[in-house]
Amino acid sequence: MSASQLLIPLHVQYIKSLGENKDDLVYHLTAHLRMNAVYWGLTALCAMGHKDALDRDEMIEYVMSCWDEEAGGFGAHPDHDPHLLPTLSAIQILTIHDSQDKLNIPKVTKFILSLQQPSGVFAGDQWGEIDTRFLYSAVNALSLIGQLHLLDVEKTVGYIKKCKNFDGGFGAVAGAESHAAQVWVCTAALAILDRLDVIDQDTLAWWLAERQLPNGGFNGRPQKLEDVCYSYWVLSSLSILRKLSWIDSEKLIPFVLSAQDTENGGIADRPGDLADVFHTVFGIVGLSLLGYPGLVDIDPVYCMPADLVASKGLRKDWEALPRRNS
Amino acid sequence: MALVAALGAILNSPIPPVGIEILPGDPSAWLPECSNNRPFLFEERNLGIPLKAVCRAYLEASHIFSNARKAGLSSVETGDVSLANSTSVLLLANPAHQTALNTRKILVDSGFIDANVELDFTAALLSSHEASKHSTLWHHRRWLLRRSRRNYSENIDEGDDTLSGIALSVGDYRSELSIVSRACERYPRNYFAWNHRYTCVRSLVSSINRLRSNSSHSNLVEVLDEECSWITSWIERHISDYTAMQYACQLSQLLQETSHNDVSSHLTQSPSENVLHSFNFQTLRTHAESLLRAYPDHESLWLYLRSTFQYSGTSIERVEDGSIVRGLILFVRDLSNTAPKGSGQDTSLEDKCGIINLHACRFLSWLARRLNATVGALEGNGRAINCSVDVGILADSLLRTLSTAD
Repeated sequence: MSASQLLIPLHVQYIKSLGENKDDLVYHLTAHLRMNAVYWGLTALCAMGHKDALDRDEMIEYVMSCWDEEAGGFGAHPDHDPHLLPTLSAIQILTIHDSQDKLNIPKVTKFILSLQQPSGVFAGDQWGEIDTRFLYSAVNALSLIGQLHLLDVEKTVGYIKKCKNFDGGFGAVAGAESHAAQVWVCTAALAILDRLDVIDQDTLAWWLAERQLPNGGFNGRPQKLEDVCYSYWVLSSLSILRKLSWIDSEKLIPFVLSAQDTENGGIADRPGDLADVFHTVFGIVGLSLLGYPGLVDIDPVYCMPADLVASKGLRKDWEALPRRNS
Repeated sequence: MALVAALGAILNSPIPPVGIEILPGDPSAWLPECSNNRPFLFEERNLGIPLKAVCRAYLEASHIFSNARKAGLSSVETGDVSLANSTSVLLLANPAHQTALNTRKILVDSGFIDANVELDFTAALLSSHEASKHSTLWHHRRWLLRRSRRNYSENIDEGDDTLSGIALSVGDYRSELSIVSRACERYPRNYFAWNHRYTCVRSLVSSINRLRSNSSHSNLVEVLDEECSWITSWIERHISDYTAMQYACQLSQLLQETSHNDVSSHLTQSPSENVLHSFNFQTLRTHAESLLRAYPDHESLWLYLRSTFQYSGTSIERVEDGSIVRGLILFVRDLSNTAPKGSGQDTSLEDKCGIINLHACRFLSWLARRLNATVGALEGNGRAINCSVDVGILADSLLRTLSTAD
């Protein structure tokens, strides 16, 4: 098959196949990412208009099997400790499947809020690792379950400000190098909190646009290799800043398409490498933001179907490129 | 299960391995007469374990770990050995296994695992390419250091995962810094290793500030001095490593912020003998310019030069002396002029020339934005950065704008 277009049926098949080999080593080696992987697979399917390709009830049952009643959070796998990252993924999955009624909202809210530190950043779990990714997870999750009013917004925004670098970007913690994925979590968190004023928007947009390499792909930090997932972090951030036209999408689209596995489906970090669900979802939702034909609109703030986010009254003022017909 | 026990005994020994390497292929390739329970090499505290054996051990360990957890963490005490063994094997194969790390923290808290031994164990894990990129292992080290070293401040904000306010010894600092250096050699641009380094060096500076008259003070200052010369030479050996250059700027900023205190007063005693004394943004800028002259096709160096202008006190908007800015523009124009020109036959040379021009354009357009200068060649939006604009025209028009402003 040719990689000149997005091979939707093949990717749907690839995602369906991921959950089938529960005995193999790879399944065990990736158990600590299982909840996130389910969310990535589901979101990719939604973007391709095949939300129902995976069994809804089975998925909800899996999510609930990872609920830790005592802590009030979700683990990545039934055998794993609760953490903010899988908790956000669980909430996103339940929201996409219109099943928030399964959630103990007061309890999960308490869990999330208990992880905020005096500086405003969030720890991922009780052991105290901090990262702006966890801060975003908390803000996104609280917003989806309608509990954002319980968050100390000033304190939260205060930490993001501490992570702002001279190049306009943000890092994982205060003082850390700007990194496209951390830029996205900080930008999206600020969008949810209606505080995009914190961002030096032109400076950041230039830094983001400078991530595009001559081959069309994006890196996440200066002078690193291009990687499909960074096209999403950069595109979603630019989309939130309404500056998606600053990059060359005509060169980016063929790069993402060239990283497809044309035999078994899925997308890799770059052409020739092994495909995985992480790069598959971010490749596809990136294409969606560029208006690639046949895809469903994805909200760059929540990384969920745009219609769903809008129906919950949570849509922010982002802008994607118009959907093309062919 | 015997494999997990055999590996676990080595990994959890009071003297853990110093290095761990996963060897490609299956054990018979490495160990012609290997026993099924010991299909790995362990010599001079270096563990080499073939990939196929790692996979088998991982599946065994998953099973043991899962059963032990099902028994409930409340009965952790009874299963300490199997938890210690299984978690160490899980982490060997899958260093991102956070729940295994959490369990080991519980075992440290309960006194079953000694924190210093655990620091050695994680140092061994971090010696592998794959493990060294995981943020959770670096956090684990900081957690262990906070648990095992004395606090000298009552106001430690543990929530910020800091090491400042913790009484680390000269040996502790040297050890952390060298583990980071090794990790950055094995996994270039290692994001979380560099973050760990910055956390350590912030702690070092705060320790120096505290111990004004203490005898260990000068030893700590020596570590900081070594750090300044180390980062300078690291950058010279890794001219594509913008992460290191960003770190150098953070370090310079940290020193600038503390320049009124004891660090500098100690230094006045022997200014000519240490690097620390002259480690500032002016020096870094000269450093960046000299490297750029030699390697103008390296994006990192262009951003290094930008960075040296951006930290507080040196931001370019505050440079009142226009000659610095003019000098910078002429520097960029010359670099671009002296770039190797392609002959039409040598495409790699042509590519190189194009890349230098791109970086020079991006630099000048950045400068123009910092100065709020309107430059005709850059009208419009950020798309211009990915188009090729003539550097000479850009530089001249920027110079004209400056003269008008004067």
